[in-house]
Amino acid sequence: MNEFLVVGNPNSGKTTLFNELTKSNEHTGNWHGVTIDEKKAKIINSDYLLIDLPGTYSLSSFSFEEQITIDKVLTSNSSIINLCDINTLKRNLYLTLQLIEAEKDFRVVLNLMKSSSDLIDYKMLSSLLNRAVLIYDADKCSIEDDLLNSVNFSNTTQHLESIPYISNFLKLKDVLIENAKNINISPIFCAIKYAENDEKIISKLNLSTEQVRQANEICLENNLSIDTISQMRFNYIDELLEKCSYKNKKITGYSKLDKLLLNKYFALPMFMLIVCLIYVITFKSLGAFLSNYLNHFFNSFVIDTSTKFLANVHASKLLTDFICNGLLNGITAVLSFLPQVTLLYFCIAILEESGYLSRIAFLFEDIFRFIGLSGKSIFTFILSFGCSTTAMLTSRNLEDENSRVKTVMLSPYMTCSAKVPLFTILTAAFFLGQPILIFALYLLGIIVALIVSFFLNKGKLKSNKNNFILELPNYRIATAKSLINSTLNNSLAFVSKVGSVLLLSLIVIWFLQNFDFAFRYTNSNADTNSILQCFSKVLAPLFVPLGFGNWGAATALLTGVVAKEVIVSTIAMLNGIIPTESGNNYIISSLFLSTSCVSFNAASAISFMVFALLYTPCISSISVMKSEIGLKRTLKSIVIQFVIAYILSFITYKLFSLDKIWLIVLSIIAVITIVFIAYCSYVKHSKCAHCNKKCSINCCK
Amino acid sequence: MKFIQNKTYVIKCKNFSSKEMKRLSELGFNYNTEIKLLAVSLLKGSIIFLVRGSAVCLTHKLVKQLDLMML
Repeated sequence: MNEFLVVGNPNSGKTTLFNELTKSNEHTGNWHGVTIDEKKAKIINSDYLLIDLPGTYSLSSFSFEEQITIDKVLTSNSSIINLCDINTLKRNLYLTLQLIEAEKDFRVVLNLMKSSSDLIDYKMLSSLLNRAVLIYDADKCSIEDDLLNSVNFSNTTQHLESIPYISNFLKLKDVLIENAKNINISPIFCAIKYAENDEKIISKLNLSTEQVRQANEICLENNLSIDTISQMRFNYIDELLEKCSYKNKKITGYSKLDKLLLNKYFALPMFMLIVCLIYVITFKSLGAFLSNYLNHFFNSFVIDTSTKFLANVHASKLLTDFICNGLLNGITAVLSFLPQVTLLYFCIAILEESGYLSRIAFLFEDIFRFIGLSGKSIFTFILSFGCSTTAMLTSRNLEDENSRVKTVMLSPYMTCSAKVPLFTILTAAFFLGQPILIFALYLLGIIVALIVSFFLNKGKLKSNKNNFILELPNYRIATAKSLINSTLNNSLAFVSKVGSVLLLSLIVIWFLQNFDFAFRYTNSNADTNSILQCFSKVLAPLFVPLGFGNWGAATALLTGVVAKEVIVSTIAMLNGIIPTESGNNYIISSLFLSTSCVSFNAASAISFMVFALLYTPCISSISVMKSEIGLKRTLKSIVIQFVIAYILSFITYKLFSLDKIWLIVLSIIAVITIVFIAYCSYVKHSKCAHCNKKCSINCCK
Repeated sequence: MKFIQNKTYVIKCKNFSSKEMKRLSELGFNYNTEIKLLAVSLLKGSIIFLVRGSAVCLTHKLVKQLDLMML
C-alpha cells in the first residue's frame, strides 16, 4: 500500500489533518509535543496509508520523538506531506528546505490556521520550491482530493543545485558522494549534515581519515558551520517569501493577553486563579451538583429497582448479594463521579487547546530548574491530573534524559481522576465536603513530587543540561468539536475502565470476600473468615500505626493497585449496605460504623487519603513506567512512593489525632530539619572565594 | 546583563557548536540577528524573545551563551 508521511514543525496541525483524512480521533492540542509516536491509518476512500509523525523543526534530532520522525523520513521512500503553519512560514520553511536538500518527494500543505490564503502567492511558492503547494483550511474544505491528485515534480536534483547556497556544498559533496550513495541518502544532504557536524550522519557515512581531512579543509575554507548554514537557509527563505509577496507581519506566540498572563508579578496569581476556578467548577458547584444528581439516580433507580426485581423473582440470597452488593454497589459508587471526572478532563482540554499550557511551562521553568526538571515537565504533570498512564508518554519531548526519567517517576504523585471518588466521599463524610481539603491533597502531591525531585537531582539522576527551549503557540479559542472529542475520549476511557478492570476486580473481590478456603458461601456480614479476610488480616497490622488497621481498609488499598477507582468500589462492596436512602449517604454512613469492614474517624480518614494519594501507582501506570524508564528505576520509584506514603500518612495521623507525645516528637524533628537545611544552605553560600570549596569562608587565607 | 522588556538585543555569539545552540540557530537565533525581549519570569529563570516573527522561550543559561548586546 502507498504511504504518505505527515511531517512538519511541532504544533502545525499535523494530527488535525491526519484525523480529518482518516476520520480518526487522535489526541490534538495547542502545545508542542502532543504526538510522541507515529500513528497509522488508511485515508478514507483511497488505497493510501497515512502516517502521522511527531513534530520536528529540522532534520537534526534534539529529542527522542524527533529522532522517530527523522529516521522515518531518511529511511523511507514514501511520499511526504510537509504541513506548514502559514503564520510561522519563515520557521516552517526551514524544515521544507531540508526536505529539498534530502531530495525527498513531498508536497507542501499550507495550514491556514484561521488566516487568509491571500497572505501568500502559493502558486509562486510552488514553482520556487519545485513542489506542489496546497492550501488547507480545517474549518472549510477537505484537502483529500487535491492531495492525492497533486503532481510529483521532476528534476529535483537539478532544482536543488539551482538553490544559491547549495553551491557552497558542491565540493564537499564530491568528497562524500560514494559514501552517501552507500547509505542511500542524498549526497548534498550528507555534505550539509557533515558541515553541521551531525554525529549520526557522520558515523553512518563511515569516512576514511583522508576524506575527513579533505572535508574539514573545505568546511574551513568556506566557513561552513551550523550557524552560517542556518543563516544561509534563513536568507534564502526571506528571498522566497519576498518573491511570493508574503504579507504576514504578525507576531506569533505573543499577544496582549500575555502582558497580563506572563507578567512578572501577575503570572503566578493568574495561574492560581485559573486553578482555583477549575477546582470550584469540578468539586464545588457544577461537578458536585451533577454528581449528586447521578448518584440519586443510581440509588433510587438502578439499585432499588434491581433489588426489588430480584426479590420479586425470588432470587437466591447469593445471587442478590452478588448483583446488588458485589457489582452494582461498587460500579455505581464510582460511576456517580463521572460528571466530576468529565468536568476535570474538559478543563484540561481547554488548557491544552487554548495555548496556555506552554505559558505555564514558562512560569514553572524558574522553579523546576532548581529541582532538576524542565519547564516542559509541567505538560506531563498537568495531564497526570487526568490519567498518569497516558501522561507519562508526553515526557518524551524532554531533551534531557535525567529530567525525563524524573518526570516519569514523579507523575504518579499527581492526583489522577481515579482518586477523585475516594477523596470526595471521605471528605464528604468527615470534613463536611470541604473542597479546600481536596485542593490541599492535590497540593500535597505536587509538593512531595517537587521535594522528591530535589533529592533525586542530588544523586545519579542529576540533570546536567538546562536547555529549555520552547516556541510559544498563539492563543486559540478551543473549538467545540475538539473539546468534545478530547473530553469524550477520556471520559469513555474512564467508563470503559469501570466496565472492564473494575468489573473484573469486583467479581474477584466479591468471590474472595464471600467464600472461605473450603469454597463455602460465608456471607460477608457474618463473622466467618473469608479468603479475603484471611489475607487482609495478615496485611492489616502494617497499617495500624497509620490509623486504619482494619482488614477492609487494607483490602481496599491492595485492590487499589489494580486501579485506583477500585478503592471506592471495594469499600462500597465490603461495607455491604443495600441502600435505603437516596444519595451516597449509605457509603458515608457506613464509614462511621465500627461494625463495618471499612471504618474511619477523621484522623484515620485523612491519613488514608494521604496514603492513597501517594502509594504505589496502578498496574497500567507501572507497566508504562517500566517501558519508559526500565524495570530497575520503576521498582525504585514504587519503593520510594510506598515509603513516602507510609511516613506522611503516619505524620498526618499523629497530627490529626492530636497525640501530644507525637506532636512534641514531630515538632523536634521539624526544628532539627529546618536547622539542618539552614546550615547546609549557609555552607553552600559560604564557598571559599579562592578554591570554591564547600568549607568555611576563605579557607585558603 | 540587564533584561528590559521590549528592548532589542543583537546576538554576538560565534560558537553554536553545542546541541542546544545548534537548535537555537535552527530557530533563528543567529550571529548578528536582532531579537526583542518580550517577557522575563519572576526569578529571571526563563526569558521570552521575539525572533524572526515568533515568540520563543529560553532558559537564562542559554541566553547567557547568546552573548547579547543591547541596541
